[in-house]
Amino acid sequence: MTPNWEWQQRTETSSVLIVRGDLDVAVGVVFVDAVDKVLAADGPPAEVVIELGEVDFIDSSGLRALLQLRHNYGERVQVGAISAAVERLLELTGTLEHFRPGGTNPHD
Amino acid sequence: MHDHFALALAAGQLGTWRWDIATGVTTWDVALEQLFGLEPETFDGTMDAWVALLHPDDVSHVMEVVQRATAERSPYELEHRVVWPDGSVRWLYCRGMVTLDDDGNVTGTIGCTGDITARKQLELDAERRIADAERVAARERLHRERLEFLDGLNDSALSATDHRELMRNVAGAAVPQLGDWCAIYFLPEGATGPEVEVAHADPDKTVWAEELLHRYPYDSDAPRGVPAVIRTGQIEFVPLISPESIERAIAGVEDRALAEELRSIVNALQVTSLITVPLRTKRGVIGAIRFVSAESGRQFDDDDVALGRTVAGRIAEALENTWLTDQQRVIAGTLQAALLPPRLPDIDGLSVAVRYWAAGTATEVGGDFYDVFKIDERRWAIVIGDVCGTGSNAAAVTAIARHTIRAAATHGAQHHEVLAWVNDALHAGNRDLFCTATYSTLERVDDETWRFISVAGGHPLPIVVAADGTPTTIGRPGTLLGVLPDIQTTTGEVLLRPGDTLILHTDGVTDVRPPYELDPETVINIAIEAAAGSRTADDVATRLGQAVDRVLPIPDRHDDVALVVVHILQPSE
Repeated sequence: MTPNWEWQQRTETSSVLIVRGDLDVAVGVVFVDAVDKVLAADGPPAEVVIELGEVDFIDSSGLRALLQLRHNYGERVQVGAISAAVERLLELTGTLEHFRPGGTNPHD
Repeated sequence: MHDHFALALAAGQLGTWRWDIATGVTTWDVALEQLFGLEPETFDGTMDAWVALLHPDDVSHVMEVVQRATAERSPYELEHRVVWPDGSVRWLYCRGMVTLDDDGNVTGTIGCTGDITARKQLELDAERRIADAERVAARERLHRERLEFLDGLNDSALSATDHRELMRNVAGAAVPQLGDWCAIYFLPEGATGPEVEVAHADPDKTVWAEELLHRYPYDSDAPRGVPAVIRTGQIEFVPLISPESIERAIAGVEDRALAEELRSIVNALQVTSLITVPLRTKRGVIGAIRFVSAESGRQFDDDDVALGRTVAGRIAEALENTWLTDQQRVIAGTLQAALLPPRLPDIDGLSVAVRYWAAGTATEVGGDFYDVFKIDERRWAIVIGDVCGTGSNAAAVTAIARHTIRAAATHGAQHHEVLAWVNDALHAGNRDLFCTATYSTLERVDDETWRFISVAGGHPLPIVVAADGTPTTIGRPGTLLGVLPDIQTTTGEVLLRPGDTLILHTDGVTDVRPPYELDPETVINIAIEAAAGSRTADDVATRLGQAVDRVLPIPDRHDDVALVVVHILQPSE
């Protein structure tokens, strides 16, 4: 699967990032950069919701990218829907609750 | 009859002659005069006039054939050239016979002659074309041989597993096509002297050359030869080694006995020709390759120099890169060994086995780690973990995790506290890396019973396969380590009896991308099969390795896989 994501404007203050296919070592860094750019732009959205419902595969590098975004932006980065593959990894690593609204910010 | 003969002659455009020994006069008909390029009835009938018309290069051959025929009184035929008065050259064919009188004495010769210039031209053209074709074919063959030779060199370089093997392979592949001997000198970065590999088609001679290299150490300041080529980066080409050049070469040797010895060695080697080419990479000149022609007596030419240059160009980077890989492999191996226990402890009543399969090339330090150590007289700790990522940062995290666990465990920390310590240590480091791990203990309850207690931080849970084949996972998933300020973990506990098997693994096993399927259920089924009937942990580990390899071949793995297997032995075992 080729990595691929797509931005959608949901409301005036919320951008949605839909991720498809693999979220792995090949995608992780580029993925973080893409979110960084959107949140650093002029008149940035108040929050970014990352939709992971169409992710077929996620590995520890993908998890690391999600954790890094959560660490840097806190509640401004939210995780929306998750696929079974993502849920399995988040559950195994005890980070499922962390990505829910009101979850702990890493490195607090 | 005479008319018919004339007709035949005319049709074949043949000329005739008659030579009378008695008078010395040769009579030609007009047709023959024409064949020699003469005007009708201008031939004066003398032998000299005839010989003068023959092509100078053919005179002796013609005279020889005619004289032999006359002596033997036999008929003859000849092909020869004549030079016409206008300078043009024609080919003639003539058939002659000796005439005899009634007493059998030779009276002269008669014969006929035709022009075969056109046929001869075709023949010569054909010969020239064949020769041309052969030359082209020979050139193509040479070209193809050189390509095959270079391909062979490439293959031999690629098949090498380390840089010394690469040097040996290339030197071996170079002989005897490019010299009787080939030597490769390599100066690794930071080394004081070169590494050398020599090859000769005859292995005995290779041994001899190695002795010589050992006996006469490399002199990096030598005015000529390999050291000079490496210093200057210039090719050294000696097309022909003469006795004088040998004398010049050893003139600088002050010890006369040594000079004498060197002379006898060079003479024994029968060296005739030498090419030494520098091996050049981005780092600069990293060595040299030397081709030596010796007992074959062959003299190298400019083509050989060009081929030698090509060989050097092809192997230089490969040699350097292979050497770098060797270095990395040594470093990675050393680091990995430092991060894993040197040997497993012997534990009475337990059989313990570990397996570790690194993903991809062996040049990176893997992120998986395991440990088995004694806490006190009754308790043993078992650790397995996986650091996200590979390389030196991951190695640092591995070291922190492993040693924090040892410190916490031996200072009486509870299971959940041990992982909390690791989380604190990694979180404080803020390295943007995390790890997952399980920390477990086995405590001897009595001769047959062990208490297994385990806690997981973001790591796959330990699997117990009971003696009757029933599988259980121990504990509950907990938070991974090093990311969040606080972790949540759940400690699990089970009693183990003889025949029970305990399997701990890293998620290189479960973290598998499509199209491969290795979900937790499949892993548990593989564990049940591997444990069934196995009497030692080693058996189980081997069978697990084989089963995982069938589902997910090692070359397709993106992550390391580590396994720790514990089998509870019968008290009598």
